[in-house]
Amino acid sequence: MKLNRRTFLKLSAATASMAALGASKYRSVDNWASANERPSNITTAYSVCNSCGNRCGIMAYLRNGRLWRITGNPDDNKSGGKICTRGHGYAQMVYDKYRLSQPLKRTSDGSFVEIPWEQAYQEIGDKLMGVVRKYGPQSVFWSEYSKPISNFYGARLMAALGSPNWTTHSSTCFVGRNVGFDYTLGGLPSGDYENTKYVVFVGRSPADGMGLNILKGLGVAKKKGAKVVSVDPRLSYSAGVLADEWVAVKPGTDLALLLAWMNVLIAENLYDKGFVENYTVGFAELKEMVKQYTPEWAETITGVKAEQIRRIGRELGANRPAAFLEPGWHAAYGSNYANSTQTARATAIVNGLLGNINKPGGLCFYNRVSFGGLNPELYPTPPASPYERVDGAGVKGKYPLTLSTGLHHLLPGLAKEGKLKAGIFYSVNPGRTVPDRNYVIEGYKNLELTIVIDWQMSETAEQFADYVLPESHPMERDGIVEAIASSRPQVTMQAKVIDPVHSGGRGLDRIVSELATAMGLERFFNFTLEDLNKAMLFPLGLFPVHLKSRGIVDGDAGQWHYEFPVDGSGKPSLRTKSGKVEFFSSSFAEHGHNPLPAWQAPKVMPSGDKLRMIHGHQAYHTHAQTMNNPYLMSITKDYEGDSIWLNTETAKRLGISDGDTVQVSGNGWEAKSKVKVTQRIHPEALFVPGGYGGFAKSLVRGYGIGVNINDFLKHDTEPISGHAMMEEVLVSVKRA
Amino acid sequence: MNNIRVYSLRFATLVLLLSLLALTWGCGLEGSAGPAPANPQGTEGLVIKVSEVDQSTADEIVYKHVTEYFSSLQREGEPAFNLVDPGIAYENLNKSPEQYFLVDLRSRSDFEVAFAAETDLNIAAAALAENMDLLPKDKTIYVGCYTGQTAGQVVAALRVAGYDAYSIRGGITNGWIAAGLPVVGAPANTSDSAAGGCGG
Ligand code: SF4
Repeated sequence: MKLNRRTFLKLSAATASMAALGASKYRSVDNWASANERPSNITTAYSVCNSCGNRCGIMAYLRNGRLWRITGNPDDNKSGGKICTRGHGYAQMVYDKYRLSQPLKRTSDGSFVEIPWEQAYQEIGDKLMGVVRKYGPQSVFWSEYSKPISNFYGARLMAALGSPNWTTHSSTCFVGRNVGFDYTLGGLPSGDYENTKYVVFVGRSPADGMGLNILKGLGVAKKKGAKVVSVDPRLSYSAGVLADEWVAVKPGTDLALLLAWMNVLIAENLYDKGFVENYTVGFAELKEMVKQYTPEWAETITGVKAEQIRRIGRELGANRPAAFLEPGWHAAYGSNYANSTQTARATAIVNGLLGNINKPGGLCFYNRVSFGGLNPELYPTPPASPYERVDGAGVKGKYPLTLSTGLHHLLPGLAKEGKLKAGIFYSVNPGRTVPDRNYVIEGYKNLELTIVIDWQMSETAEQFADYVLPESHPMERDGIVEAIASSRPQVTMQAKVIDPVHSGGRGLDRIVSELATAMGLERFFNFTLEDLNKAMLFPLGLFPVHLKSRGIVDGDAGQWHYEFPVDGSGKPSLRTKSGKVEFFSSSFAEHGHNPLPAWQAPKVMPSGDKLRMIHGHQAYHTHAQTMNNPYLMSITKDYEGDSIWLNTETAKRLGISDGDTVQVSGNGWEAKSKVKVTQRIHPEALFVPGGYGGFAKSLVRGYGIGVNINDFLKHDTEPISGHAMMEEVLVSVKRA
Repeated sequence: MNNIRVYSLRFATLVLLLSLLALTWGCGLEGSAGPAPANPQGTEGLVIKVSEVDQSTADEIVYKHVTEYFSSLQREGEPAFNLVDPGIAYENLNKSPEQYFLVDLRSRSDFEVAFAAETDLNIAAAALAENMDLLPKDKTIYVGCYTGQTAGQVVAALRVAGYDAYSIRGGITNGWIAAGLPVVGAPANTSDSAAGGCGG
């Protein structure tokens, strides 16, 4: 472990504060003399917040061994030492009375009874192996809300069983964005927010969806005069706080706007010619295609004035390469519209024209930390499954271009078809978070065996689980080591902060290893989490104790430079087929998709009084996971956060006033909600805040609060990346 | 002024103690850390309140800890001179990993060739001054080096500082490995860091 000045100062400060707290009785002569006279009831520990995928570094303060409060770890390069409301609320759930504490088994009358762990393992193990023997391992799946611990243990358990079906929530979240960026830029870059002069967010709202690093960086950039533009049918909290300009695009038409910006950049010679020549393929085809997509044309599609489109295109060109279109997450091109994957491609292409890859203030592919892995001679690696994925992800003729994280919203249908017979759900709640409630529940009810692993009940557990296995709270257990991505990547780990409140809960590593042992698969799980963490840290010369004692340490990635990635012989080496930015994608062409992101309308378009239902995050909730959190739900209550949003003009036309209760109908579903009438939303859209509409009776604090877009959606799949098209829905609204 | 003298006295005693130990156990093979530095790093972090600790108190404290240390060297039913048999260390580390902590003082290159999978920290003795925060106060610490020489000195210092530390008899090389206890080499495969879950 090398000690730089920063680390040393940190250590000195830690020593001083430890001494002040009386936690280290032998650190000084002074302490020796008076150790017994000091109160030593406050201690600190480092860990990682588990409330969302940002996984911010935290410091936990304990009073007499009880969690008192958490703060952000100031060493975290990504979060900048800040944490959000949800982090605070989630941490305190360790003491919540609704936590699960014992394995549950469904009885013949539909209720659950508590059973001992050993019985749970034995019964589940026998049944799971029975399914594997009878229908083959490809009939078993794992479904998770992606987390580092389950990325490893879930995937390994499926491989040990011989199943190819490890899935995450990506098809209802970000798969369209990733596929679009993968086949254009070879991956997902990070924005160099602090140094940018001009940034456009296409649908993303980092102050609602929470990108603490983005907020921090933009704060710095704006002080230096940077301009922020928000393209969004809604004036989000990000737009309100950060943006200099709101582009109120008609929902689902962002692709037209992007095509017009390409048109302006090329027609007015504002693009980076040198970059295009050296580092891109397919410019001629792109140029030819975008000739037709003038700002005037885009105005007719998007509702945004041609002059505003043209001006922003020019401003982007004038500020390049310190200008970029933010890579986004879910909204415009994660998994919402029929044109989302091509919209993601178009966003990546505009960045290519700006020549901003690995440039100050542009988009950057930072170095990664090289973790080690378990030594296969000691810890046999399960062989890869010989079967094709049942959901068709990566399978020729189905969804060959999509991610290996699978298409989880397709699983209920596959269960109904009899192709899937048993499933394990880890920390994921498709009963509430996947479109089309009836499709999901009726589909999954066909499974012969359903296991839910979570620390609380959920719609999924209540509706179709046969067994519910209680995971301990993240504050009670270690996690897997992980990287914090930034220009100076760091390493951290979730570490046990307090002794378990419930002795009944267990960590996922233990649950999976013990279940595997019950199935005779212990040879693939003959290691502890500590062994795994040591193996991962080995190449870095680190041990888990470094992370537990210091929270966050530097990785091995070394100094990062603003240079286009090249291989040893100087050839461009982005992770695309050509190593360059691919304006024209031969991979798309090969699989029957348009190799250029030509205009494609969304599947449905609002007309008359039919409005498009759109949805989005709130800064104080993480999907449906926090609907039973008393602290966060009190914010909902105080601010009427469960209200839907309706445009002022639209409301006037429909005779609706702010605060009214309205009835929303669409696709055969009806629900009542309070309405917020505002200028901050496009007249053709109706906004529903995400996560609400809980119908799990055991989650009492969220039960029946608000409405959920998934109830208004019909099951559907976009053909390129295979996402769930979560805003292709029209609804009507009237006073209730 | 007074505080410097207090510290100097304590440190001089420790150096004397370590010299004695080196003479007693001196096997002077590779990996020896050499004498402790005369002006250790990290003293800035010490908090000494002159008003509360006078010269005689400091003398008493150091004297008390040193005598305690010597009396701890031979206790009934416990290994002599704070040594632990490698086999017993192996057993304890595996039976109760949460209670024991294994430190390997050998060089990184030698460590990578063959090491105990139970190792919690590989660190040079000279680097300990800057890394004391890594050593747990609530666990028994086993320390190993090539022969036991360096580990013996480190254990002596750690015990004076209040740690429950033992030296592995013969070190890792001449003790643990020579006894045929399991060791592993560097893991073969590496992987890129995986992206985590859903941001926000
Ligand atoms: S953004 Fe908030 S909820 Fe997410 S990891 Fe950070 S503190 Fe936790």
